[in-house]
Amino acid sequence: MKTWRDPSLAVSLLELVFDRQSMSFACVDEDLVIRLVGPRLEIFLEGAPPAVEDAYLSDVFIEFFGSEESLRTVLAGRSQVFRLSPVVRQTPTGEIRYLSFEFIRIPDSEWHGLLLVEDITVSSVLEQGLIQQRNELRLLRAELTHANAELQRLSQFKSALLSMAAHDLRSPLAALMLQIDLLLKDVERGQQTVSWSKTLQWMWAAAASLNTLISGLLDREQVEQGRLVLRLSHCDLVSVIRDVIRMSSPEPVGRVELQAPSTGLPLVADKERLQQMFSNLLDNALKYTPRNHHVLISVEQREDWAVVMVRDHGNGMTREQLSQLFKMYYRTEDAHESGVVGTGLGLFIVKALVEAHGGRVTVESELGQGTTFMIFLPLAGYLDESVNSA
Amino acid sequence: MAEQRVIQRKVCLLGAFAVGKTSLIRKYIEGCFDDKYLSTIGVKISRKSVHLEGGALSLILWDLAGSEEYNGVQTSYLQGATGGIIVCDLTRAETLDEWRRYTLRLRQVNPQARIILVANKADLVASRVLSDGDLRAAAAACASDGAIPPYLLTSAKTGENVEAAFLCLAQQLL
Repeated sequence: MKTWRDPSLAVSLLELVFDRQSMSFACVDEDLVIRLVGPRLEIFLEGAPPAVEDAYLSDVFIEFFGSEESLRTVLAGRSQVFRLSPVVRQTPTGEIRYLSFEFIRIPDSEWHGLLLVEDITVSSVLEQGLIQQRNELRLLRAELTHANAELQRLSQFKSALLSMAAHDLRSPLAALMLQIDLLLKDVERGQQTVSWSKTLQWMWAAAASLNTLISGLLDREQVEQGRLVLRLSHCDLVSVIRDVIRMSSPEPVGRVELQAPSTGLPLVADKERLQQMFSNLLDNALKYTPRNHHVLISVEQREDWAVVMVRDHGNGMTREQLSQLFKMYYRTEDAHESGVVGTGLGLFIVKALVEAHGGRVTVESELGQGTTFMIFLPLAGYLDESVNSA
Repeated sequence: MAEQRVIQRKVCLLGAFAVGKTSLIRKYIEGCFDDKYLSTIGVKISRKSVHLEGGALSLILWDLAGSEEYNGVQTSYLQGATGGIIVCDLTRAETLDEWRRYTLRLRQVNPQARIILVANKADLVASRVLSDGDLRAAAAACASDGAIPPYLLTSAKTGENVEAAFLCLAQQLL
């Protein structure tokens, strides 16, 4: 009776097993040159099959490039096995196959090493699916954790903002009360001891400051809830910017250079919102520009767009700071340390207003050189019809 | 004319899962990008020929799984690697720790390996959580003999610095 060790039977059985398991093998000599090739090894080769026999193992299977030293360790008997599994192969048609490579020593043989190659696509696809699901869950958990932390941060910041707003409101309010008190005393005495005109100017400035703070808080809420409403009308962008320069700061003259076409630039826009937009940008630029430097505003037409550039000579910002700049409540560390009062809402509102007008805002900055904001607004006739109008 | 022999170099891409290793290779080799995340298991090997001033180089790029299941077998994957691109995700702070971990791991197996650190997903500006300072500090922690590996901000989506990262490493491997 034959046993499985019978050479002819062993060969048949081996072929059957290799075929059934989608496996093959190659035997190599001590120099890692392939000397014997198993059945259907060509199906495990990538691309056009090279001449396999008498070729270096790593020339046929790129997976072994760089690992020759480890393979020799196996041949020398200092290591049991060298395994690479799973190795992903993608066919030109995009089909994915997973292979397993195992290299072992053949003792007492003219061939020194045996490479077993197996197609493990079925089990690997299942494994890939499980790992995919697990990784996606991990990503989701990380996102949730991040969102939760962000919510907590916002909640804390809102509390801080409320305290800050109360504090900021108190100063102009106190100034306003003081000026009113002075006027009342003059009225009671029936004589003028202070300049009423100057007092009224101070009162106006204090009230304007209060108005800005309160508007910022209300605008934030409108933007957040998508309730920003524009009152559109025909207006001239250059005139709006001239007004802003005249009114927005107590000492802009000489510190602001305006380059604009004398003919103006017509827009369909919300005039008050435009004033608010450029007032925020100009105030910001003046706040952070040293007193001996000026702020440049230029207005020009580029095809269908009105382009306004506001350039300051402040400290500039890092790329990281720029990426956060238009976020609600964001203030740079420098801004915090400068002692300049601010809520971190100004640029957030500017961006919302520009976008509500169908435009966009960009910013560039270089440390030590200053910052440049570019506002792009569609010219009259090109405004997106979907913008709310009231 | 004498035939110029192309030098082959094995380069491993390492990093936590879903940082964009596969996408970086795909962008570099095929020039395309897919938003869909498909986790890699084991290793996927690709080739790319690079022509530099000093000669031609064939990069054999090993895209290694970022899941910890494969950490046990990765030593065999790392053998023979002369270069490594170690990737983190700018939108996930925890992935930055892997810069140092994988740098040490690669150097344990190949002490002379050249390393480039990459902070991927630079296009996701609003979701970015890693600062320039974080990256500088993490790169400094990967220093060997006082030499800090270079790091680059990349985007497999837009292609920003993708080729630059591979070329920067290729220059060092020539």
